[in-house]
Amino acid sequence: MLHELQRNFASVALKNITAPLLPNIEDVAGGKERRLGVYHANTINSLIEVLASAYPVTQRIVGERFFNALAKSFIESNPPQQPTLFRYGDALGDFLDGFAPAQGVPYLTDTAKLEWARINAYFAEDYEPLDPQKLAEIDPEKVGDVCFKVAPTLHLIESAYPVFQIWAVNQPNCDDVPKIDLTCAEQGLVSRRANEVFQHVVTPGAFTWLKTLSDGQPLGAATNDAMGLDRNFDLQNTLRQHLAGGTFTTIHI
Amino acid sequence: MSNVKLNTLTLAAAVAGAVSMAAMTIPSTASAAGKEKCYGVAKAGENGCANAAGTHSCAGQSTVAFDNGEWKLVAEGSCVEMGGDLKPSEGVNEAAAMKAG
Amino acid sequence: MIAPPPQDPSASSTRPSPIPATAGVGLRHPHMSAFADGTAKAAWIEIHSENFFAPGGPRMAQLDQVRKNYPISCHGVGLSLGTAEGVDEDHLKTLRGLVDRIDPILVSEHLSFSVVDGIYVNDLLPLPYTEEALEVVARNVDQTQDALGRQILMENPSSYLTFTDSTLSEWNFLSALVERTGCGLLLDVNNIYVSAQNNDMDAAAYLDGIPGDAVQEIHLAGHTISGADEDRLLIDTHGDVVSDAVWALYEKTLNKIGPRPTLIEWDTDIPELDKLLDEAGKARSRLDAISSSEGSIRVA
Repeated sequence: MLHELQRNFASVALKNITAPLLPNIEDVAGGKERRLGVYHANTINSLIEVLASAYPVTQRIVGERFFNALAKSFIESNPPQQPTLFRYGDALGDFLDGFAPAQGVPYLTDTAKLEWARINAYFAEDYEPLDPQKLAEIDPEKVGDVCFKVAPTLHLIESAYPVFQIWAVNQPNCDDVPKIDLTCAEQGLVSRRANEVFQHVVTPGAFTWLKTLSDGQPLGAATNDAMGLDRNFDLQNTLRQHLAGGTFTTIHI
Repeated sequence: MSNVKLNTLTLAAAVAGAVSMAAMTIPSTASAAGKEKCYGVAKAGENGCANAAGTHSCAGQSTVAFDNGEWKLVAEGSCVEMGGDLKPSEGVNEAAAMKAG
Repeated sequence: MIAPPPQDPSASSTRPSPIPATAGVGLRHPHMSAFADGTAKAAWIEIHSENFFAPGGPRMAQLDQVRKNYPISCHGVGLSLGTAEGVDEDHLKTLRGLVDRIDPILVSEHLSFSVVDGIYVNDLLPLPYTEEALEVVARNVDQTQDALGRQILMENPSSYLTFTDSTLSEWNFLSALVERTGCGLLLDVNNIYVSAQNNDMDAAAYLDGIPGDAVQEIHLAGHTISGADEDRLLIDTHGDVVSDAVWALYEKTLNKIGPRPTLIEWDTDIPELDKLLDEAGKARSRLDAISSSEGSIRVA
């Protein structure tokens, strides 16, 4: 009984399917529909607001009206599966990929994914960056076999579009959106050091190196991959940057 | 063989170099921190117990009739300016009716 | 059903002092830094538990800072204690982690449901007040109190409709819940007013009907009036100052049950911190008035 009523009520709240589902509501002046409409409006509006908070750049790119409409469409097909709302909306990037009305803004999916990576980095568990000294303790003969565990805050982002630039020029304090060359692909990372979420582009060689390392491959293989792509890949400098930037947490052989 | 040996040596030298320089580097998030102040961290979605039904101009009710073949919704944000290097006929700049439902 | 055991006095001595019957405010994002650095003048604060379910990161670090400066109450919005499906164990576990982390003075949840078939409807949906629903809620409250190892408070909802199959009044439902589970009550006076106006409910009978001793906290907030005549509805927006009518009902409540820790909630159109603290000040002056008159009665 109660379960059935709750199922029906949830359908009303999420989809605004009304009259026949809930016959056991007291009649009121003004009609039951208006009363049920309050629950529907609150459910949808509050979730739109949740998505807008998580995706301010995506919203700015398409405008508020478009965003509200796409958010509503997303909510209908991807309602929250758990109650912790800072985790809600992770699937928006993939959703946009198949969302026909947004096809005219082909970089929207990757922009949304970059925004979600920032949220993930923000809420991820704290970690201790790798002490570089641990690397110094490795037998030089075996350095190529060292595997790195990357920080739980690290996200590698690869796009056919300049998503990092797109993100940067769509910040609230950036009123003039400059023309940027949308044919320029970008690769980079998002992470968090202590309390600061940061992001930056990296060279194709460094991106491949990071990707191979984060897949659990050893340093030798990662360096080979990177040099295969970019003969000028500078291991010493790249490793130094990532040791200083807290990209890694532990090593093992 | 010698190639592998050379690689191992190069690798070891590069790692040693990186480690010694990393030890001297005072990890600085100054530039990132500066940006962070400017940009602010995304607020993220929050849980609450207030009713949002009365506070918006019916955001959730301005239905766009996606399912009636009105696929070309007009994006009105910054993409219109940014899309200068895209073919405008892809839909972004193409006026299409957005129906309030 | 078993009431949670009374607190071990030696354990309670390590706990922060219980909230005095004074006024606090809900902690919201724009005011976070003022509470983290301790400059905001508030006697205690309340968080929405689910916003602090992250395993790490800046928000949790800030919460730890806030905790150093203020007693905190954890107000949950996601457990869905009215759900016929039973409480989500993972959610309970995370809540337990938060409770262990900040040692809150109070833990509360709502008399409502939000979860159906694993989908979380982001609203506090109303329950029919039936024996079946009472059993469901009592079971879920028991499970929660067992998992947390402490008593929780249950808050009365604001509602926009009622069910024809309800056999109990809301206050009788809450009274029975208190009796069966040993839970406490969080009385939201604005919610009583909103529901009373929307559903022709008798607010005075409500105050007469609830077990005053079980009330350990009071909520106040602003509402919004939407529509006129037969379309008139009060919406629980938490987006304004507390209305005069709700202040009057609050005074009646204090006269009836005595002073209780009182919290101002403000969630939409969030004002400057000073304005929020002003509202808390208005509650405090009423609490002070009732406390001193009670004191004089006792003296006399």
